[in-house]
Amino acid sequence: MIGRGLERALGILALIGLVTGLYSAFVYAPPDAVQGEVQRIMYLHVPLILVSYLAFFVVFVASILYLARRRERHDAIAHSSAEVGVLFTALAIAAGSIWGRPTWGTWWTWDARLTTTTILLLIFIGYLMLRALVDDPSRGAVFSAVLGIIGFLDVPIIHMSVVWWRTLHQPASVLRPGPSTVAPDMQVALYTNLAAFVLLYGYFLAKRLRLEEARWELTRLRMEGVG
Amino acid sequence: MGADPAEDGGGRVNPWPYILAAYLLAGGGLLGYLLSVSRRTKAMRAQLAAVKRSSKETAS
Repeated sequence: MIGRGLERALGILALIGLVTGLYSAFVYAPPDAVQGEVQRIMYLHVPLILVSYLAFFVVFVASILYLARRRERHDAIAHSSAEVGVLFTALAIAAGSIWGRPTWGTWWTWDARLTTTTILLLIFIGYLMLRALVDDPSRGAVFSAVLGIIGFLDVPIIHMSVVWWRTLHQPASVLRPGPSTVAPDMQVALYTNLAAFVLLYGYFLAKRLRLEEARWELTRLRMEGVG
Repeated sequence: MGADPAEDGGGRVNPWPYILAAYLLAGGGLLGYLLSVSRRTKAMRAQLAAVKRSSKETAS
């Protein structure tokens, strides 16, 4: 589905991006005036959660396409992107929790943003479990496509949760109307890391799709009675 | 509750253990996932090759 050359290029670009991102987060960007050094976790936490939104958006689009056209390719993209999305969401929650301890004084609170993000993680863990539990791959693909579409609807709720409810979590710094609240030097570091994580997502998706290709081929051979 | 190990003598929080923990956890998680996908792909390809081989043997 994705050529090996493109996959390798994505891997190399992601690696370069991550090294540049680390440099920008730890050397280029100044410490925050209020939070101090600990705010450097933002350059990890924010790109992780934004890329998980992207991953679940890909699940949403690929699931709609699968239900409309029933092509294995769309299901493979949805399945692969959901797995990568779960990884990124779990890491974003973990990084956010570590950041919360020195800034909020607690590892966890049932704040609207944190709760809706946890719900998103649980929905997509359920999505992956559903795929593993249904024996017929075609039926599993249909059920999970429906869940993938419904699950994505939590993403706008997460994003708006800081506006709709009184929360401990700070308002959106990126993807917000009006000028950014982040200082220019910090924006450079943030967007560098965001670009690196988007490339990393692309690389992981390409790698994961190879596994999905092999799985579908094996299923097809078995259905044809080979082996 | 015991004192937070990340607090220095003056009660101020030393941020670096938290920063390191967050970045190391993310690095470990991403690397672990990459290794897991590579291992699963390798295993699936081996299974696929075995099925193809056995079908060729049956046909010949």
